[in-house]
Amino acid sequence: MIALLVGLCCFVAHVAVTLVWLRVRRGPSPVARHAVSALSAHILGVIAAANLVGPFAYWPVAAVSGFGAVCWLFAFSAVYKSVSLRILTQLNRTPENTLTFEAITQDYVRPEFEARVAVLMKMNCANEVDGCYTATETGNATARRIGVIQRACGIDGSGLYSDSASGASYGTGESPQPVP
Amino acid sequence: MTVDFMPSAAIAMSLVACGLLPVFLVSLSHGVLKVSSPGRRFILATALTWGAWLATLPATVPDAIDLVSSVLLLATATLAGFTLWTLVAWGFTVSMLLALNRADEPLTVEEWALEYTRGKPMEAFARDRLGVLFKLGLAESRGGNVVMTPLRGRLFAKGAGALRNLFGIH
Repeated sequence: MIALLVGLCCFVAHVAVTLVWLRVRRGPSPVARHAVSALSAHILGVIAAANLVGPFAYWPVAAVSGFGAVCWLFAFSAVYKSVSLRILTQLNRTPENTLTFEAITQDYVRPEFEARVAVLMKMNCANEVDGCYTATETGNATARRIGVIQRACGIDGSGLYSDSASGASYGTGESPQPVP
Repeated sequence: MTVDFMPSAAIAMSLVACGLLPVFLVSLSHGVLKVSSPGRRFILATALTWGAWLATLPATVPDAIDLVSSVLLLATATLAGFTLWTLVAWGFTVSMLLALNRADEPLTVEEWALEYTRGKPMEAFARDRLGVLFKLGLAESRGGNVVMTPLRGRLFAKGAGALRNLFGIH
């Protein structure tokens, strides 16, 4: 039981650190902050507990703090990156909770696409010349590595959910729709 | 030494099962065993992983702490695996980079989007992501409009908003 509580304390410390650190503008990427915080809280927590409380088993500590850290990162990733949740948030902000498909495409999805273009440029994976984009050496090398992983995992879709599901439409939940 | 790093039999078996998840995933990705849908493939690999661990339970006879720890270790591996799997299969930025690499020539934003969706318009991508909301019952399609569902949709939107505030995301 002590081990489970130590794991819980490690997780709580990780939560506290990330809540502060994620608000700092400069520094490593948010996912890197999560990883560094989780590992540091875990290692320091185990060392501190080893000196402050009696003997305990390590693996229950690892199980609780690891599970908490992954759930915490999952929740963060969902609201930080998910296009679907971002659209839902926008729907919630409109008076009638309604938006046209066109408005969603032009006002929220297209800007999201452009934001990811900026991310790729910041990562030095894409380059822009006269409004046209090309992959950089870094970008091509990264793409090749991802391609190897995708082939090992038997994935060859475009990245659209509907391309991965057999016989699915664009994912409207309705019958397949023609391409406008 | 006040910390015992030696895992119990049940925890050792759960760690082995964690290692089996990528093995099952790769095995189900090729040849006669291939499951075509990546989503279903992950679900089956996860079921096999948990099944393999459950099969060892009668032999390891874990106490309550070991049982909870083993379940949490497997759940951690499952959730981490799911996150990586979705990134490789459906990751937005990852797929955009692959599309640019595939094109092998300079692209405008519109051309890049077309390469990404393999010839479908940007609206196709919007509908694709909206499909998640429809499937989960968070929004509905009414004519040319998308309407948030009053109960579940609002609840999720408020939850997402609260999380965004908590994490300091603007």
